[in-house]
Amino acid sequence: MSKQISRRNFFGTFGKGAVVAAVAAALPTKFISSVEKASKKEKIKIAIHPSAVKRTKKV
Amino acid sequence: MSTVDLTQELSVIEGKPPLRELDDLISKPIDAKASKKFYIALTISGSMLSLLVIGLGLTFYYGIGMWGNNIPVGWAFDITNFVFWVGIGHAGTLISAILFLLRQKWRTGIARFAEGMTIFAVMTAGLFPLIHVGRPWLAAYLFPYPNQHSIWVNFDSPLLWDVFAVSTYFIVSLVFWYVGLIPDFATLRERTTHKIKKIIYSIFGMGWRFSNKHWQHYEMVYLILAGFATPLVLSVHTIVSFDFAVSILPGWHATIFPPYFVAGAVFSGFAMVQNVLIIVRKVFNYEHIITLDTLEKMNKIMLLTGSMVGYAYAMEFFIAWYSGLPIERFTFINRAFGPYAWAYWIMISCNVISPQLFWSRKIRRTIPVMFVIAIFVNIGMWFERFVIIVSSLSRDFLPSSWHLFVPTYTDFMILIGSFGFFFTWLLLFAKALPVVSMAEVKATVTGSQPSHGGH
Amino acid sequence: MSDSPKSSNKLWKSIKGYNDDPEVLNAKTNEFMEGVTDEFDSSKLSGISRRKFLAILSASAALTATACTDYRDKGEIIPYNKRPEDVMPGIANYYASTCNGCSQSCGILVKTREGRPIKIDGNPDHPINAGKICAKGQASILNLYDPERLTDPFELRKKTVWKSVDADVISALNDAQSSGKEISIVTGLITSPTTKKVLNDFVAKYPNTKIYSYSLTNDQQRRNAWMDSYGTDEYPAIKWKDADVILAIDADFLGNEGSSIENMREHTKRRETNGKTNFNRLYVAEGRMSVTGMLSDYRLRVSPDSQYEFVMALINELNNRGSAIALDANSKLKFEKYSLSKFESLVGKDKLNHLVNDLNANRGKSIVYAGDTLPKEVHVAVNLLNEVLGNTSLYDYSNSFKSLVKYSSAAEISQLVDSMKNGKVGVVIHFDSNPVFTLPEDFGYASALKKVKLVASLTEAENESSAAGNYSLPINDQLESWGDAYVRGGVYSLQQPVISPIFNTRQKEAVLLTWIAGGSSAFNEDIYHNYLMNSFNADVYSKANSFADAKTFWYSALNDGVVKVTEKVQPVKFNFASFNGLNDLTPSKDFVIHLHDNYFIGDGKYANNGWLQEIPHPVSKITWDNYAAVSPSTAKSLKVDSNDLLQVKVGNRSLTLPAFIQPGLADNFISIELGYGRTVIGEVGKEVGFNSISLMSKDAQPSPYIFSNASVTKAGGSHELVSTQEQHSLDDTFVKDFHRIRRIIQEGTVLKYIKEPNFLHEEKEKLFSITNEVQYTGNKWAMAIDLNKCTNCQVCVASCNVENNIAVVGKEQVSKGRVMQWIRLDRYYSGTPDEPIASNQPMLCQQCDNAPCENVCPVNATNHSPDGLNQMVYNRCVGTRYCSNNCPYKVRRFNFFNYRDSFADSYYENNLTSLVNNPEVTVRSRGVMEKCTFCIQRIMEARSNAIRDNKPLKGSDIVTACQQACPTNAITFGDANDPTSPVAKLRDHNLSYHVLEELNVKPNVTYIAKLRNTHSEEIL
Repeated sequence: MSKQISRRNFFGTFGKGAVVAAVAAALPTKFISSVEKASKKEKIKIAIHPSAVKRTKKV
Repeated sequence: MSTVDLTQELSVIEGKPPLRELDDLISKPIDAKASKKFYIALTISGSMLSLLVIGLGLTFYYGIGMWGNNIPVGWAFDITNFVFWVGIGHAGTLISAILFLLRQKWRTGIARFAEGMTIFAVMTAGLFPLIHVGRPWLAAYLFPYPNQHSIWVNFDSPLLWDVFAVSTYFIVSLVFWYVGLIPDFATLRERTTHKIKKIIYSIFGMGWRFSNKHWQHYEMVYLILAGFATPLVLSVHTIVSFDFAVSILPGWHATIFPPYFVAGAVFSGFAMVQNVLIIVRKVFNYEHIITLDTLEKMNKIMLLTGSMVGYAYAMEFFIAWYSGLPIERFTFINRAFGPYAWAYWIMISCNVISPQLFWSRKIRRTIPVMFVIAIFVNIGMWFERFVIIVSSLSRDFLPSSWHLFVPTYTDFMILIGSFGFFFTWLLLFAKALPVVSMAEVKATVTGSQPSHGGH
Repeated sequence: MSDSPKSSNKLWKSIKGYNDDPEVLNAKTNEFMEGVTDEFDSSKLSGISRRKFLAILSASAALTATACTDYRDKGEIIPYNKRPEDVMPGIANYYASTCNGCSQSCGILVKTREGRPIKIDGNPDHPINAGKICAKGQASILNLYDPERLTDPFELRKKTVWKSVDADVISALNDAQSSGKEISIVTGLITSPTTKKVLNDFVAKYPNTKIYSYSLTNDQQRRNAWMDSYGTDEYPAIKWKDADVILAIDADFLGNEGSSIENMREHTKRRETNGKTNFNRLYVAEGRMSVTGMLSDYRLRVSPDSQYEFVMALINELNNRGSAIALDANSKLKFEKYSLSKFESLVGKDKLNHLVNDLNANRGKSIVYAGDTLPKEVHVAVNLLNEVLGNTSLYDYSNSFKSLVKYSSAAEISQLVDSMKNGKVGVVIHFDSNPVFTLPEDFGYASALKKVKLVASLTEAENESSAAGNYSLPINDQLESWGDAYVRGGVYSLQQPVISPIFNTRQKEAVLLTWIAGGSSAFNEDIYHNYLMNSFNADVYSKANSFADAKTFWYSALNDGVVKVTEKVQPVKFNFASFNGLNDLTPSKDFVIHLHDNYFIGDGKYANNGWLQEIPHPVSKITWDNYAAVSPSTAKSLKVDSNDLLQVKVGNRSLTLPAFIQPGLADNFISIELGYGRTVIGEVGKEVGFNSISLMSKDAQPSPYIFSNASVTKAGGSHELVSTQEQHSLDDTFVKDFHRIRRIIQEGTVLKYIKEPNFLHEEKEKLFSITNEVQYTGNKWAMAIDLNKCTNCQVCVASCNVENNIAVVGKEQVSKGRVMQWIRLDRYYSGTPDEPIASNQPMLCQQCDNAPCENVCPVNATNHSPDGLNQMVYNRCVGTRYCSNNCPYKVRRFNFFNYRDSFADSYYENNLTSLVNNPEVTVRSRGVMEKCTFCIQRIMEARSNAIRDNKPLKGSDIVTACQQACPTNAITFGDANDPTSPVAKLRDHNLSYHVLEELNVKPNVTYIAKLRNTHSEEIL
């Protein structure tokens, strides 16, 4: 009986741990950490000139 | 001029020392505390080794650009050093394995040391394929392991054959050497009183009990391993020569390369072994074990292989002329008279002229002279690989891509450092392990083997 | 605690305790000291229990760990939330515009990806450059992303704002105007009619304004001559393709002079080997070795100071055999005294006879053309010679070279300097010009500038002139600018910005308009846009007689980039007085110095462009430097070798620079390129080259570029000149003529070809293979390069650099042999050091069927594709370099360093410059091999389009970067398995050959042998 209990405890702990790991793996950690990195870099603003006329005929 | 008794086979060991004395003599460097001379030697080789570390560190950090390599000379000191060190390794295996199969008893005094030199030379050589690549952290790509890219290595490539050849050579040499060491470990285990040393020797001795059964197995395994190692002497450097012979570059693309390289390897290997042995026998007082006769026989091998190398030089030239191809002819004339002519003539004088001095018996048996000749041989052999690699690459097919190679400090650091690497291992080996095979040497002392009608 | 009745059983810790020592008893009583727990208040304790603390500790550790990202993580790519209307990610947009690289104002098409311009090519609709531009134009895209561009206005080297600058300048302008001081605008060549209008408006607003126009290299001599000879300074274009014989007099018309792109195209129409062979014959008389000289059929070494006598002698000789125009007696007197016999020993009697006979036999179908640097006198003489020969029918006045704003004369500029020195100039505006660098030093411009109160420089980057002034005002790059150009009659081209100004820069015309308006608030982004539109409507739309409304017409003009306008052609007549009144020029007895334009960095404006500095000089293959070219025999008499320093002295001006031995140069003659030696320049251009402008003078006559009273001596020391090819003397028999012996260059003559069309294939051997050949059943990509058309212009190199993100490695690495360009133009000499015969050959990866590189790669990083390409897999390559060793063409390039990191301290590794990279091409890392891929990214794009459209992929769908850029269409690319494709036909051409064919590597680049149009059947 005690063996069953300890076995149940063991697997229970394992199961809880697995759930936690799955949730943690699904978190957008990389995104969160890259936000800081991206804001540090000076961003060059690129915008197409609004009055530019794109060439429409085949080159 | 000693009178040579030609009616009897030359004794391998001079005199008839008691067997125990031999044990003591060979074990002495291991048991004794390291002498001041040893530390000085280790400091020198250690500082050379540190040059290697610095050179490799710079190379890994900044890139192959730290060397003098360029396009067209993609290989220069890196592969020259590689071939040089692999070549040096061949002497050991020849002495250990081939001379064993040919029952040349005079090998016993030098086999252990030579085989050790082989292993350290192959280790030094093995550095170069790994560090000469542009991305050494991906050097694992050179090995055929199943991977997610579903891609194997290119078995058509000589560099890949090198990977197999050199690793096979290293493993077989190591195993062969180790098997030979087992009885000696056992001897040391019996002799030592130091607690830790005893444990180490016991582990490596593998429970050797000196029983007849053990000796039987040992002799058989040793014979088989010698058989394994023998073809390697010929095949490994043949494979290395294929790096060049299989390409289309004039000056590389020659069928004479395999025998030429193998002869050259034995040539330079024996020269290096001879140099180191002369030092060893003096330092450890092994003059009667590593006898003058042994050295003379080694010099004869150098003369033989040196002549083969000289023949190969001449034949290369002849065939280039005979082919009638302007580009082949130019490649060889360029070697002799182009911008690297100085390297070429060093090579010729060191490799072709100096070993011919060994025709003279007196020179063969004079230690200082043979020492110097062997040094020249090694210099010449290094330059041979340099001339083959660099002069052929720097002026190849299209004159528009010709460019000189100029070595950098990092190149020299790595070159000198490789010697430091080699000698450091050698020094440590000389201190920690018996440099002469106690078991084999004892077996060759006159009267040690049971014989019919003998005493 | 203390004694208990069972004291014998009590526990003790020490002997003292056992003995109940009072000390111990005392200590026991005070075990818990007084006051220690006085301030203990459980409610004030932190609510975090030990357990909770540990939990928080581990959680925060875990969170911190997430901040440690993979070193390979380059950041997130996030798709557009709101996609800009004009952008489809992955699909490029093209915009028509005009290039400002030089005076020719070629029409360009700018390719943009996700809003970033990444490639400039020629506009196929532009009638003059017809879809091609020069190397400067190709590489000029890097200037938009130059990290040392001016990003904001600077006042005395401190950052400021436009508002305060405008206020200061406007008030200074008003002050100068009211106090009667001059306002000087110094500009380069004005090519834009609208800019001219703005300048006129400026003068109208500030009447004290004077406009000075000056360029370092210009066509002023030709214009002056034309004005004298024909009464107009707008000289005609030449109908090159109608000329059977061309004599170029120190004229690099196929190199970098004038409308060289147009010239190359038209000239090579007469070097066609497909169909009927109707070659022209090119004679070049020059002192220097130019690209045109290398391409000549006959080259005459005539020093520029002797050209006057040479032309005169030709006029004399040819007039004796007849003239198309009636000459008056004075003219005859003028040229009678000259004879060609003087040139016989120098040039060779045979060559002279050929020249004279050819010109004579082809009257009316030939052209004599003088170069821009020659003095007016020579041009006038050439004009008469063409008249005599009746060649004027080859003059095309319908698109003549317009002159919008005349260059200022030396006298006018001297006057300006005097005014400045005397404090009579209130404001100087450098209008995108650099006179402190480009003006000869003896004008004293730089020191006079100090006396001017306000000097405002409108420039893209800090230069010598802006550094000498108070205001450095950043202007838009050409890709951010509005504009137009009218440099050729009948062709009006437009410039539009393809990208909004990245930094706080302004259109230079808009700055002037703001100052005209009198207040900073007048500025807005569109001020010049509107001005341009209005000007366009007034001048172009109104005359166009179009059915469309103004707006539609404007948009379609912007779409096309160019509008054809009608131009009235005035008939002209030769004015003999121009000829009769000429000063006779006599050749020098001393050294002659010839200064001329360089090929790739303009008047120094591109000195900071790493790509352009690294493109090898077409003749000498030298990078990152200029030099004093000297002939082999002159070098011998001066006792100098290449790299030795020479001191060149003209009057009291001198320059010390390295010599370079150039075969074929005239003797006692030095040629030096202008534009090098900039001092106020970014990191890349610093200390590159030697400033030969220091040899120029305001008083130089007859030509500002040619000096006949020079002395040249050996100075001590040397300077390493770095070239991409080894230089060997033509006398060195050890290595002579290998390109012919090894049949790398196979050539013939036109006569031989006409006689035996199959002469090249006579000795061809059939090669056999001992293995099974791979069958290519689908597309099989191949290339053909026609060596008759290749002019060695290096535009293909520039185009490939931009398309494939080629790294700049710098001078030191080039000297080590590590240049990274995937295509190179090999230049070989045969003949003698005095009369060399130059051959060029573009060399790139031959995509061999039996590629020797593929077998030897240990990791399978290079393989063959089913459509015949040799593929390079960068991420598999470990960098053993065996493939390069085994490549007989040595076209593989290795990344010995991470060049973006190592070049000039990571100069190009920044957020701005990395925008120039083509997103379709991998940027290679350190330790990896790379090589030409036949623009596989373009092949893949065409393939995916073909799949999308459900059509078969045709070779004509794909244009490689080099093929697109080549001005003469020497490069043909296509599907060898398509028998109708041009490349398949060229592979079977009877002049086709492969380089190193005997190796049986089966290269897929076919070369069409060059035919030289000499009078013999043999080359040498």
